[in-house]
Amino acid sequence: MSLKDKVAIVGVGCSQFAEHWSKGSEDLIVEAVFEAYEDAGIEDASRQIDAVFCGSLYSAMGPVDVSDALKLTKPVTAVYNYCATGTETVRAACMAVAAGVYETVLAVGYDKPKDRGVSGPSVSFRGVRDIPATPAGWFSFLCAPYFAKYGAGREDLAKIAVKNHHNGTLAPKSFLKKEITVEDALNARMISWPFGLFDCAAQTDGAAAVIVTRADLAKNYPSQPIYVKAITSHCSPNPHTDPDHDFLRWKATEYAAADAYRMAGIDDPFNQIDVVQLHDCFTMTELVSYEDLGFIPKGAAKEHIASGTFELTGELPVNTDGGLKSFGHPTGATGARMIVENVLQLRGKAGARQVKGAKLALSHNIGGYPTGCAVSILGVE
Amino acid sequence: MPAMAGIIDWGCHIAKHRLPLAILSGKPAGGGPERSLAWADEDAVTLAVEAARQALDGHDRSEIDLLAFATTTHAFEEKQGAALIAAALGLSTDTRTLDIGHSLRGAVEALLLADDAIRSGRARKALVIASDCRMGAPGSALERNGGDGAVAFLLGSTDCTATITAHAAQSEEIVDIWRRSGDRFVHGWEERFTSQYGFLEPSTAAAAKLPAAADDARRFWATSAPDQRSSATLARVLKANGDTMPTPLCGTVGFCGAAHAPLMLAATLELAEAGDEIAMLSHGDGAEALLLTVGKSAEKKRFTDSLTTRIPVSSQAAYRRARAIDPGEYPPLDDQGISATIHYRDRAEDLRLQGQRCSCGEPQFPKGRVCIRCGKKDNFTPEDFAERTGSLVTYTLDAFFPSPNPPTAVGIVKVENGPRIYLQVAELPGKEPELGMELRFVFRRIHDVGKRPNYFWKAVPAGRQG
Repeated sequence: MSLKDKVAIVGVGCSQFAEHWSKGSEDLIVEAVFEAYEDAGIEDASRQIDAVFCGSLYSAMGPVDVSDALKLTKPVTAVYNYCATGTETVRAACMAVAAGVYETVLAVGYDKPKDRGVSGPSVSFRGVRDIPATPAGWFSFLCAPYFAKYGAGREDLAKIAVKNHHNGTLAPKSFLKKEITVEDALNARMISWPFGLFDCAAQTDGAAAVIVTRADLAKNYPSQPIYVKAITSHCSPNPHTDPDHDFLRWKATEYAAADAYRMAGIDDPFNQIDVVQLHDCFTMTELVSYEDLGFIPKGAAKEHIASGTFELTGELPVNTDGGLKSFGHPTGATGARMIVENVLQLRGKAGARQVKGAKLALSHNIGGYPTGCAVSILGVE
Repeated sequence: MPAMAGIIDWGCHIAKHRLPLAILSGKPAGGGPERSLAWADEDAVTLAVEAARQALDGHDRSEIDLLAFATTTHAFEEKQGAALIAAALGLSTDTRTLDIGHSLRGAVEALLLADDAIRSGRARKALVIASDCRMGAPGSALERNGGDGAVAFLLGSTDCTATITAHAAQSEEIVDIWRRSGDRFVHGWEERFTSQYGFLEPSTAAAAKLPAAADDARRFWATSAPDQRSSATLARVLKANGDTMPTPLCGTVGFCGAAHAPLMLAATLELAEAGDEIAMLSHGDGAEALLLTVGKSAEKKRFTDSLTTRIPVSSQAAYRRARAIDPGEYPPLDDQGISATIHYRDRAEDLRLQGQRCSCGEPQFPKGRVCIRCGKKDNFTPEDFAERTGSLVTYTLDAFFPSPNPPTAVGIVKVENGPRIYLQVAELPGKEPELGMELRFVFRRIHDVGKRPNYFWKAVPAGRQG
């Protein structure tokens, strides 16, 4: 079974991503969804939307957050898969449409972590031995083995942060609009070796919304429809206990990408795909994702970082809007925000950060220890 | 019923961190007197486990029928330390466990109890552990004179190094040194009073009740030593009889409370030869003396190894942070206590580092129901990994995780012929770990979430124990 060409995106919306001290999740959901309504020409949501999928990591109330905010009393479903929640939410919406259960579905990803009173992500306390457990700690486990094997180092990570900070200055809805230098990144305070402050995504509040419908109905909507070529999800063994893990890759990305390429019929991703939003929760996650997504061979990231392959003007621009680095990572929103950016890129509406003539766009979320990954591939036809 | 009982083996674990006393008064460290110090992830229980693992090295743990734990500084008023230690050592649940608390002379009673149990045939082997972490209020003499350490003795009926031959007690009611329920620090009355009436008089009284040394026998004294001056005075009295008193550890280790005299006993066992006598003398609400006869000289130098395995403390700030002396900006994590039912279900994994091996051969930690290799359900045999070595697969130094000793080194460790385990790494010699470095496991108090001590294992560089 394949989702390819069965579903189209006909409306997208995105809130400002920021430390929203004076706004609640209701405000962010409404901002994102009403922008998507406008994009899709929806004037009477209760008649034109059949169901709602809601993605959030931090929500205490679940999907009632969304139905209450929008006063939209449709079937609501909560979706949750750690940091891949945003893409998963859109995937669930696409599957519901492809299955023929609904015609038009709203997917909303949102989170409001800045109401918790801490600057970073939560440190969880379950059982005695689970501690310490911080995302920076988990994601940094690739660094020592990768650096030892392939000779990369903190400078290569810093260049990724510099690139994404730059791209963020060109995105109106990004949080950080500040150029940084390699020295800034290297001299910042240490979070979890080798990640300094600038190797880590910011922590923000935000929401993003995607409206999907059956591909054959897409022309009835006013904006240029964008077609779902693939949207996949894959799980990997927990890297903390996986007896075979080499800590040079995240297996979940390799698995989810392979599924996506098979579904979309892609055999040369580097040359076929034109623009990429990938999960730069930490700079090292972006570095290995170049390889895990099959763009370049394992171990080649360092040379491609040096040559600018993935910069906005490079052969395959990655994180054109500045990524998690500049937008922050309101967990449920991130994957949906990436799909919004890819839709804008494919429509040629991405302003100063537009990749000329983009026809095929990939987005990627990874989360857990990490254990789960979701990938989407969108196209103009 | 064996008539014979005695000490078969022992282990010493003086806390490795050593605090130069000059630092306490704001001076540079420079080579002067110091004291031993349990670090942020250590307490009386973790020191006890480490000493016991040495004492049990090469011995069959299944024969231990009794575990007695003597301490004044167990973290709980109600809840046993001995049962926790037995779980961490992987002893049988048939083992009798007891704590002897509230007194600096508990180790004497623990040794007597073990001796009685073996002689009566109620125990094949017994483990006696004495452990204390001695904290005086900041700026006090008790802070400077204190020390942290543990010692464990394995007793049995055959192959004994020393046997108990006499005992004498002197009980006194006196308010000299005390710590009330809820107090953090040990308090004392005026030092000239506590030294004379709390230590010297009852000690010499108990000593005098022991039988005289056998003909030609050398007698060594292993005594409490609350401070330099008092112990020097006691030494003069004892040496007047021609006896020997080894250096009492003042200014190097400090006074380790209930563990001090038994640590000196272990030190003396490593000096003595067959035919020598050792008199152990512990004070506290009186004093007690125990006379032992040495049957053979010791081969191992556990005390010396422990004394010389040192991690110098570099600053007063590091000391105060590690021992939580100053109030923090945020209250301790009280509300997020670990679920007691999860703690109960996970206790074999947490306390004895028990995982499992599938019938397909794949080792696993933590335990699961389904094998990660073959996918079969419930084909497992439990297996303990604490005594294995391991190697470092990957690591990070986490400065984000709240810790009294940041940054927290965290790693994935491949156990020798075992699984990979995700846990903290401690006591790294350099600034950064090295991939593939050889590690061993140590039992530590990894955090105090819920204002309770939470114990699990950490990996430390392999090498000599201590």
